[in-house]
Amino acid sequence: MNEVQNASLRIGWATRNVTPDRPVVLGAQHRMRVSEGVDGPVTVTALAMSAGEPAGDSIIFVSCDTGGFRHRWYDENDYLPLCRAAVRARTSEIDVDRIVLHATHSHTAPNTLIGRFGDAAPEGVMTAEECMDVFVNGIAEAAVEAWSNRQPAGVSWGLGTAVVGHNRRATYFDEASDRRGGAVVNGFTRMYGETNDPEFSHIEGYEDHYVDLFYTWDGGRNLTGVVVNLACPAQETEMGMRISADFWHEIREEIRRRHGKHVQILAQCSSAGDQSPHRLWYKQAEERMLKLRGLTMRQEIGRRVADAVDDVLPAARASIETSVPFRHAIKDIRLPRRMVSDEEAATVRSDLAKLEAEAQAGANNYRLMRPCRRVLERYESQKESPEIVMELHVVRVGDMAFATNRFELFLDFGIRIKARSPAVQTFVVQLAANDGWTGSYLPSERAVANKGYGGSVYNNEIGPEGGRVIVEETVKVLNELWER
Amino acid sequence: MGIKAGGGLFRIGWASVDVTPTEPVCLWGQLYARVSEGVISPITATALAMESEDGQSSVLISCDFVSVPEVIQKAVREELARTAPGLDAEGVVLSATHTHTSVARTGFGGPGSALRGETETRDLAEYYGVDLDAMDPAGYNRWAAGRIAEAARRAWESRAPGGIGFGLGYATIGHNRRVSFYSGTTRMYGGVNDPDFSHPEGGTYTGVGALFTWDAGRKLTGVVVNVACPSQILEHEFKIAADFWHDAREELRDRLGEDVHVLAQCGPAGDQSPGRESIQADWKAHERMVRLSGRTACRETGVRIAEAVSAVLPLAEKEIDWTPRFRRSCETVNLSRRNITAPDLAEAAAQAEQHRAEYEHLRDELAANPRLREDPRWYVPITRAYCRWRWQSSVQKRFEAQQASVTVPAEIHVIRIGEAAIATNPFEFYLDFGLQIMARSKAAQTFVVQLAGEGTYLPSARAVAGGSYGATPASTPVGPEGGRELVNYTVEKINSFWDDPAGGA
Repeated sequence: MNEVQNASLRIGWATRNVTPDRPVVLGAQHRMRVSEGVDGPVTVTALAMSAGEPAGDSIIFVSCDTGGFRHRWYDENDYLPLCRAAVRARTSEIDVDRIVLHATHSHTAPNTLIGRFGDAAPEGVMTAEECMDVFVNGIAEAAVEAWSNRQPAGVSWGLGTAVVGHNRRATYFDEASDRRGGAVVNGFTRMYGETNDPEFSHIEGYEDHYVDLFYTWDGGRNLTGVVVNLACPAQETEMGMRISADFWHEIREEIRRRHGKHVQILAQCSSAGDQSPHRLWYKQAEERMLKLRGLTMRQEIGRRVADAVDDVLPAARASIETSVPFRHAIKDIRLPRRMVSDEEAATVRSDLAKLEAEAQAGANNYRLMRPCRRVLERYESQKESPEIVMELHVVRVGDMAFATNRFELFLDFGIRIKARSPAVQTFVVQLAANDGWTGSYLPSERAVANKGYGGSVYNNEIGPEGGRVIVEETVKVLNELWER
Repeated sequence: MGIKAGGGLFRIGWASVDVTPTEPVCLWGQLYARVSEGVISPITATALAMESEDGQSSVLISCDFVSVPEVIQKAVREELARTAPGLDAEGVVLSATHTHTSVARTGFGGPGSALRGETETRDLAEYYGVDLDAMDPAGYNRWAAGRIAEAARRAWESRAPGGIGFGLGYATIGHNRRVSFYSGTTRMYGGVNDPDFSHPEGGTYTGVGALFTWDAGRKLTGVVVNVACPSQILEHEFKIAADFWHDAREELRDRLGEDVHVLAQCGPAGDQSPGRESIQADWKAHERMVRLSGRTACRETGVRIAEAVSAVLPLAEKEIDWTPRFRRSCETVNLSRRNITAPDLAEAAAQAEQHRAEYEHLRDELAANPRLREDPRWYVPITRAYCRWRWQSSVQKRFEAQQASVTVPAEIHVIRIGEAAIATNPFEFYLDFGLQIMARSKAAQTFVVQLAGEGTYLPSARAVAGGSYGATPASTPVGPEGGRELVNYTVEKINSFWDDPAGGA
């Protein structure tokens, strides 16, 4: 092993607390929730890496405790450009195109999307614009500080295990929408469907209980930080009324309790469009164990992930690398839109008419009507605009790689990327900010066939064909980075 | 339930026995012969005897076998009926860890022979189409059955007041081994790095069920460990091995005590397998971690199981049940046969003919040149052709059988122990069915146990749609329809023990 002091890799970390000091609207679910306090701070954490100063490659990952990077609707979304501009305003040293923002997908983070719930924020509650300012400043400050903190460093990586994410799509022998009067999105599959139903057949997709871990070390071979990549969104307490980073707060607390407060933790959500910390079946056995252990599920997840970090740590400590191939490729790839068929458009028109009639009678259908209108907008514009662009980042560090995408990417796609990657270990990172709308579901072929929330036309701008393009392009870029 | 030591109402006994053959045997688990060339780890059987206050009893026996031949099950029960007074032999449940480097079988086809109506054969040539220098299987069956019955008797006679506790841990061990492609077809071990790879066909389950027993002095005496993965890391070896369960037992005894018994159960895992490159997207990273740990793959798996169980122990210990409700049932349930169609039959016949021709060619070649027998493992190609011929030919037998009966009998055991349930079936039971049972069960925790008997694959509907080994007519006497019947029966039986605690045998 090379000595860390002479390392060609340079690494810096920084973090910012972006928890608002006033009530906010929480940025998820189909109804407005005004926060009633804080249940663990919301943070942004930046990891800057570069090689071969001053002209070498670089990356700045910024992990954000947020549901996603949405400031304005659809093509008007300017979250990423605002953040990059804020960095550029602070320094000219950073190539802002090499900044990657990615979300933990917390459903209890402040809302930054203007007009999410149709109405303005209630009096005394921070507006989406104000929340956005807090995030943009926090992200920019963390990115700049991490960059300026860079020091010669070592890195290592490994694979641990922790049961956190579960597939959330219950599939039935019969058409679930036929017999339950369920929402129009339902087919043979229901998200969070009951599994003690005699018609329950199987869980639609796979689960990934591996944890990808990337450790950083200073010149004294002391642990400075760890990237933790989990195939699960941060949504254990997603229905809560308090601002929180969800289980990432407990993960950070537990790792720092064991390894010191100085240790930085960069949270990454792997491909997890069909995953959730909520177990659909066998809940009674899990809940009993929690009770016996005297922990909340978030604390239990913190324990499991910290255990995984500890399990891998000896091997990671024994395999620190300081001079390894380091490459960062950025590529705009074009993805075919999921086309709305004539039949789907007709169904949606009919649904929208019903919702509008109910709304006129006083029902608050705003959050249901908007996706309908979006489907019809897509139907009208899809011929003129049949593709969208995704900014793909692929980073090679030694024998491992990071590969990003902008979606809630169903696990099947992540598995395909990992299986075909030339890297020994590949960290897939979903919900990476893009110029434009970030974060719709990207369903697998079987999810589209089975429908259900996340698999229906309402929930995805891009379908399985686009997912296959992401897989092919990502694998292609990975191979190029290995061939260079 | 309580935290004080036991009041003597529930009685528990344990015993284990080594059933490693002392001479070369033919290892079962692949569709070709492997004459054992040594021993990696011993083959064992472990028995847990339980008797409730009201005299209901059961003996669970786990064997490091591919499956449990009906002849062994029958012989063990008959012997216990003679030597273990008070024990209802019907409550004796034998299950297999599904190691592919073990012995014990009945008819030609190995697992599933009884379901195909085959009887025990004695001559290895009948299994493999050539003479092999190895112990005759019927002889091993007799010897092993005697030793297993003796262990069960010892477990029964040693039963003493005790308590039970249980819990759920996690260990990433099994992976879905059925690889689906964009074409809609599936191939077992099909290759996830294929550009046409779409997804693992089914799910995976990383839960580890643990049911502990303590004596009246609160000393841990044993643990039942349920993992939804067959014991098949070493499945292509030519040496006898209990596979990862040997390592799991050693690791557990290191942590829990040398005299602690470990009863291994294979959960619903007809479509599961320990990881390998062709099915596991993270294989390279996983393999690197095993290498960095300095352990073998079996040892790494053993460590994971032991750590999961050890983490559950202090929690289970908080709720030791000294007087658990105990109910059990044993019923033979008739399940719908998977119907063999004329095209199925034609396809199987064509394949059988191809393998028969290959076998006969190799047989003639051996007859013309006997010195070929001096080559190491000379018998592999010819036995592969012969086994496949016979395997495909079994479809014809099933086609004939379905004219007489549209159902297949399967022995199902359901046991309530306190707030936990154990539900067995004789199949290589696809995970989808296991999840259905666990999801619908009223028990706080349900241990689904496959291969309690000599079944073969019981595929899910999506597996039949995908095809490939493990879902083809040749490997599945019972299909998804029968699987659903089995699930519904099992769920109703389990739940009846909760709805009517006095019910059961």
